[in-house]
Amino acid sequence: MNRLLALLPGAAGIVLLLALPMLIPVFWMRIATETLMWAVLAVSWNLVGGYTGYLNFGHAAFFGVGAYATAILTVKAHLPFALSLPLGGLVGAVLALVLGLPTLRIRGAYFAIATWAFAEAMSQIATVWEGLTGGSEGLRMPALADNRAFYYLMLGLLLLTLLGLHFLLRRSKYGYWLVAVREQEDVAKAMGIDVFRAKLSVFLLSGLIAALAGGIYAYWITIITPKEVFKVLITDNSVVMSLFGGLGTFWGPVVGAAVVHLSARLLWLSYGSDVVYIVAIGMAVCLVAVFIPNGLLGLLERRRKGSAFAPQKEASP
Amino acid sequence: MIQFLQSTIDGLLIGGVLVVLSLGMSLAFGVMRIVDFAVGEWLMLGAFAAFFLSGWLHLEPLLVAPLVFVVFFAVGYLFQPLLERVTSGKRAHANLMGLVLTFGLSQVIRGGALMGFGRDNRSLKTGLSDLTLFWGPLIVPGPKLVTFIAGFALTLAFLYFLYRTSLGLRVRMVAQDKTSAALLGVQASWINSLVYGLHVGLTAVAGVFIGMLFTFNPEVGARYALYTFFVVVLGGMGYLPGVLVAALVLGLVQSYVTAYLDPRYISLAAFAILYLVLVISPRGLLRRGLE
Amino acid sequence: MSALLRAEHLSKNFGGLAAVRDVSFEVRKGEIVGIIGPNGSGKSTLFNLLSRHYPLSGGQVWFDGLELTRLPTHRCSRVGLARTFQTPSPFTRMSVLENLLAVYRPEPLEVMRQRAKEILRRLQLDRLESEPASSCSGGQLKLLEIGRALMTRPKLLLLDECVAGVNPVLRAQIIELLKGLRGEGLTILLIEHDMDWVQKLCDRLLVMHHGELIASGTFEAVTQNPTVLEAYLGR
Repeated sequence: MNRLLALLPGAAGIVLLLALPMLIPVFWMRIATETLMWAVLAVSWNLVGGYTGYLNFGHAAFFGVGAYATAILTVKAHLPFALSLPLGGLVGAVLALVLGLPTLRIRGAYFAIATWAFAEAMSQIATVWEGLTGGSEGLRMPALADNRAFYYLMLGLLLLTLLGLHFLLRRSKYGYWLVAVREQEDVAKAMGIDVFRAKLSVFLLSGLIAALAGGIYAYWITIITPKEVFKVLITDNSVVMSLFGGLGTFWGPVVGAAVVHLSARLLWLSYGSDVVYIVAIGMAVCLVAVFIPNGLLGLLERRRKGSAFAPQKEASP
Repeated sequence: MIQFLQSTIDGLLIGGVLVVLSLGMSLAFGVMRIVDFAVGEWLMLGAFAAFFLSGWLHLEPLLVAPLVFVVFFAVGYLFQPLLERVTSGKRAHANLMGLVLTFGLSQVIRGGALMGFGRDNRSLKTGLSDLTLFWGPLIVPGPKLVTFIAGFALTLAFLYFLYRTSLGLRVRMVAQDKTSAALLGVQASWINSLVYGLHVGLTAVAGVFIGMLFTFNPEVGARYALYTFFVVVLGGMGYLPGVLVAALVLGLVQSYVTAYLDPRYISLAAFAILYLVLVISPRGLLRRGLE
Repeated sequence: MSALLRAEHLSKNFGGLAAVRDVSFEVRKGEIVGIIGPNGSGKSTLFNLLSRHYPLSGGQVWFDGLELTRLPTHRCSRVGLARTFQTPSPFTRMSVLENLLAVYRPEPLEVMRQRAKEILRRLQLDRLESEPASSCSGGQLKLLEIGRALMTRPKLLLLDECVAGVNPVLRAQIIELLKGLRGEGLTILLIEHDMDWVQKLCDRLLVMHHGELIASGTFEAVTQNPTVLEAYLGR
């Protein structure tokens, strides 16, 4: 009975999310869709940044490549949405493999710079390879559905991701290995954990999820350009949202995404400019770095007992 | 052939400015193991500072440069303790938070500049722009030559400080081995502040030079950050002679690509090369970098 | 009698420095062998070579018939060679039990959980099961190191100064623990500085100095060896 009661808030939350489009005006539903997308991006970034400690400053590459792959498959190969989206995600995963194999061997700041350089290079390639990508003019997608459908698509992606990660990471061997790799890589090796493979697999997941978000986004805004889908803001936000919510925690990125994006939108509504947002985000990042490096949820988690994967919804053991 | 020589001259002259930009960065990494993601923004601020100062004081931008250096040295010196606090060992994700803090700072500066100065392009008006030297068939624009000479002088001064003064010796000691330096009475935290101050000061002065040569706006930080990373990584982080070589290399690459290929390819070339170097030889082309 | 571990002409260079120089020795199944030597003699480097955390500059290592020379680090424990680290390195964000569960094993988590609890019981750490590893005392952390190594079902256990800084009572308990483990078929190679402790536990000693193996034999033989005495008392 306790267990059921504990699940109640979660269930209520899901029902609310499902009903949301019918309760709020279209303007806010768009913002909700954006928030869901940022949550997906932050969660996928946090997989690598939070769980392995590698800061991927080129996360936008996966999003952008997913968007472009989906778009190219739709526009040039005339594939239907049901095919082009999963394939776009797959391309993202393959890119993660291609990027991860050489790059995960280098550590720390070098990794951050390398991934950043890689993503910028991808953006440049999309700009100059006009035959494939339409250059800086971009690609135009066919209209697929109304805004509501995209809300549900993003929601579906987020829920699927969280569910999948829950089973993959929490109280599982794989989850323990990841924490071990993050904390003491050499010790993890001594304990038989294939550290490189662990990092690479997480990287692949990260790429897959971000690419799927990119694919949905391509359909949603219908015109994609390199400046739009490879923009630094994508990586910046993913990092900031994860940090703010709590690096390496499960719900941190989701909380961070909601807080940061909604604040941004509110700022925009109040001041009518994006620029204030930049300063505010920057300040938020600095404050997090100085005062709460563990993020909002990290602060809470430290008060819990022992486990790195403390129960969030289940009754205590 | 002439085109080649011209490009070479252009490239080397630019390289001289890039050296100034990258020296501080490399030293900061060597001493504090910090990668300053705000480096481009310091440069941009330096250019803007010169813009306003030379306007108010009715002086040549070049003459304003020392003032810019002093101001930004102070800024860096005062900011560094915060950086120190964030990266000290016991805190959560210590090494990551340094990167994060400088990244956040870069956004604050960039946003603040956008708010304060708007998106318009500016440039530093200098009497030197009318000056052009002719060396046979080759053209050497005045500003480029002057900034190169100034940059060269500044580099010499910096190296002199580092290798020929006792204070410079102490800086190098801390870079080598913090613990031993402390045992010999050299306090690392003060040295760190000094080094970061130098880094910001030099970067801002490089910004003045850049402002004399090219137009700038609050968003140029990212591009120059790329160049800095490029130089510092290729040369080997923390290895100053490498910086000298790599800066000239970058200057030349940029020049040749503009002359012989599409300038649109410069960024792509720079990013691709940077990435490949990091993956193949993260300690730089000469393999003398740190960590 | 076949050796469980055979090292032949091992060497390791760091730049110009030869940390380990032409070291050859054997460890037979069921032995408890100790490696001793002054600080800087290359003992920990040797361990890192055996556990494949450092690549060899020269020589070969044979373990249970398998040539280890190019084995990836993480495969060592999978073939039965486990080690502890000189500075205990627990996974602080996990509980004591989870520290053991993080070990790579092919069996299902539930099976591992039972085994882990047994190991903790044996080490008398079971009441700390759900506590964060960061809250353990120094001695408890040393035991946790051993516990994690035991989870891998090792044939050979490399212990790097497992009683350094540990109180005498616990030291004696660890002797009993290790002897018990040996009785169950485990072979042990350890680094240690405490001569008293080493005398009570080890069948045989290897003495290292300046990266070389300068003596090998029983405690008595080695402590009377003039080369060894010179090394310890200084040239």
